[in-house]
Amino acid sequence: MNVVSRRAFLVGLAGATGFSLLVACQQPAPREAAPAAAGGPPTPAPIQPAIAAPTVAAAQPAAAPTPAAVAAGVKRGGQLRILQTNDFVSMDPIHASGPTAFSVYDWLLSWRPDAQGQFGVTPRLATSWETSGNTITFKLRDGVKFHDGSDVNADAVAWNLKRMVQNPKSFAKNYLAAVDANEPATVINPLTVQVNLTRPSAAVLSSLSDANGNTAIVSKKAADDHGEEWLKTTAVGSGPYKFVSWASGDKLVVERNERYWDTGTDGKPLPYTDGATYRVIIEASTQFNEMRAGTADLVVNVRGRDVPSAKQITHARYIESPSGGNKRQYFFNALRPPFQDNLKLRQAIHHAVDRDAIAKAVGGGLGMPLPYEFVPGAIGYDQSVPFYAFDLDRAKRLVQESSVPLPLEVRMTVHSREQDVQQAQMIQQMVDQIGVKLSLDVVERVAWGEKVRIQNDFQMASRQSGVAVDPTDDLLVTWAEGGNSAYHRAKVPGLLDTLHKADAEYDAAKRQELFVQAQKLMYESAWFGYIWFELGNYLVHKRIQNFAQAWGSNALREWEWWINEG
Amino acid sequence: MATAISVGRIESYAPLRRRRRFLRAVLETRLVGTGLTITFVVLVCAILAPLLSPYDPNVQDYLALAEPPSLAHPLGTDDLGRDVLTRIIFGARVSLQVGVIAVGIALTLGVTLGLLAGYTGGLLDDVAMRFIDAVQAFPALILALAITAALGPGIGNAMMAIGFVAMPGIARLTRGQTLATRERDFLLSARALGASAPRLMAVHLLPNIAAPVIVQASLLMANAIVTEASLSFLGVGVQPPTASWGAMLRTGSQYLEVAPWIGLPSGAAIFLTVLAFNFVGDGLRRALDPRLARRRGA
Repeated sequence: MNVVSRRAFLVGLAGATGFSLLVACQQPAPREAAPAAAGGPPTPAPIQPAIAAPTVAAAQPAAAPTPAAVAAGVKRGGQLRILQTNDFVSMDPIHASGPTAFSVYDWLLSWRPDAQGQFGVTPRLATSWETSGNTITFKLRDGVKFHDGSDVNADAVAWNLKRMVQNPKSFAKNYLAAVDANEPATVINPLTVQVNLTRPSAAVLSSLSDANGNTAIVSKKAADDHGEEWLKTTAVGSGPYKFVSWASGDKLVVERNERYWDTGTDGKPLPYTDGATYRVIIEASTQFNEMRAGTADLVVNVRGRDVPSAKQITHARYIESPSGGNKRQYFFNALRPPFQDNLKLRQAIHHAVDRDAIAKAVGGGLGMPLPYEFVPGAIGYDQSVPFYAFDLDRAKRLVQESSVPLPLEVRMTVHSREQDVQQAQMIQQMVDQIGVKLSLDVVERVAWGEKVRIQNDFQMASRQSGVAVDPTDDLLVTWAEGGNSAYHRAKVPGLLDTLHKADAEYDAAKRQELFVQAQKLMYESAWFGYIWFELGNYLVHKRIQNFAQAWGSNALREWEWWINEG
Repeated sequence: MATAISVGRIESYAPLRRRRRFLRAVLETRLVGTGLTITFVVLVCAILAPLLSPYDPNVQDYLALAEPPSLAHPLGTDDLGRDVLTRIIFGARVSLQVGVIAVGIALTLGVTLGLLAGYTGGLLDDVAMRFIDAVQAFPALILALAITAALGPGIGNAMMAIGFVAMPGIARLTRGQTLATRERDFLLSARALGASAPRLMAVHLLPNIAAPVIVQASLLMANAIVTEASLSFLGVGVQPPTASWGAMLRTGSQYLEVAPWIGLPSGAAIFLTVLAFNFVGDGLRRALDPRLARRRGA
């Protein structure tokens, strides 16, 4: 048998080591100058103010196709290959704290831009709606059927609204806080349903739109036939695609709904493609490599460091999203020491955090420091609101005044996402300078939810959140007692009242004023540390045509894309 | 008198000669020398890390994020501006610490269980071996992952998990050696002279079955280092910001295209250290194997 001699092996080993060192020591390939490196953090385009006007809305057609799309020529068929970072939590939208089978469902309304690019609610299952006092009356589209053959009618919609607000584990109920929990909806006739409110709400329409993943309409017949538990694993909606299969942690497969009510630019029913596969790939670099290999059609939120390389992929387009992105924050537990009754300690931590450095280091060219709950351009954003600026001397003074024994050991519970861990390590070093010894408890998503949301077993934790179309949505789920994101369990006097007032107010200027007031209360209570914002983006395979930027990723409107292999 | 002096010399030189013969046998192949050299370097790095390292392993420099190798940072800096060379040196501490303690746990549990099962036999042997079968039915890494997931991430729990999954191999080997040795004449004589079971196992059995167990332990060191790196790579081993080769490899894998110097050195460190322990283990096996010793004419 021909064996490798010792000499040959050692020579090979030395060669391999030398080669590794050479590769390690090479100068990096020239990279495009990232905005952050050019001085100062990048400023994303302003986010469109989100005001859902509760006026009578005439039925409008779906957004007109772009001239470019028409010129390109519609093609039908093919399979979409979409990648996503977060696993599907449940196929039942009211139980989905993360992604669900969005393309299988329809909503009452759609969240879309008008001809001027202004986002707002537009018809979907509801062709029109009318607000009167504390009621909203929706006229439903005639002839729409669920995938199991049952009708989408007022009965089904009323049943859906009821479970959205009455199911104790519903994630939808916090977004529909203004809906009367005792009598959420009344059937007027088979195609008319009335939603009953306990107070006026400017946010309720956007909450019932496809901007909110939890308020999709599911088949009542499917629930009657199989039980509501079954809906958690099988999606039955009336949307453009039909459910085929779901393997948790792996993929969701859907196929074309031949009877979908909406039509494309060629006058035939949508969707254009035969189906789609949504694969769950957690690692950003793996997603990126899939796109590079040409085995994926869409990657959402490419990391800042990969953007220069993304732009060099010849078969893909890199698109920045002015309406998407993620806010990065941390918060304290109001039920446990040491932050429970110690405002000065909380303030000291805030002043010790250098958000500029974090945005630059973790965000790459896509990060911008964000000292507020609100992002620039969104309603409620106001630079006159005070914030905790990076000030180490003040932080040291405050921590002394807080009367905690130093060094203070604090545990921070962190999601295992790469950015979260990087950010936590930076915060760890920053607060170390004021005598706070942070230990990191890095856990994956489900364990984070278990520890922070359910067991309240944390002292300090970090989170990321998207940009809601109406600030009320985010704020109510964060501050309402039992809210989906009220992990901190803090009660700030006057804050909920202010938020409810803002929700009930239809005048944009007055809403702005109320949101500013709410932010001041949040600032004074110091339960949250607002760190930075990561601008959203998409990496789209060039074979995908008619791709339009969506608000967040709930409604990619992939049924309006077609595939052109040429 | 002269005879007495002569006998005394013979008695004092005999162990020295045996040690020399043993060392010659260990170093018979050059690969073992290479392995010992690398192991020595890793050991020195681990012990003298604070003296050898140019920087603090956890201090971040936001003005030097992911910088390529330079005179100031011979292996570059990582995503948070920490010196990669420093973290590699400190990472050696973690790897050796985990290796030694995890193998210690495996030896303690495995040798005890194997000795008891092999010497006692009967029901205890059956129960112990079925337990070992059950543990070995799980893939080692998956079992280690499950244990650390249950106990919580961290270096202590990782060491316990690695030690536990490595234990069955040692236990099985010890039991086999015990079965082969327990009926030998010197043990029967000791038993006839009234030695108790614990004394028989500790004083007479254990020294006579130690050689293969030591070889197995040296090979387990390499396994333990790889398992620790795997657990840290998957995020359940050593927690940030502690420098660990596995965790550095994980970070580096995300930056392989834009900053390869973050991941490659840690990969090379794991590769070389594991290779070194395997070489040393192989040398020990050759030296302690009586058949090979006979062939050498010892």
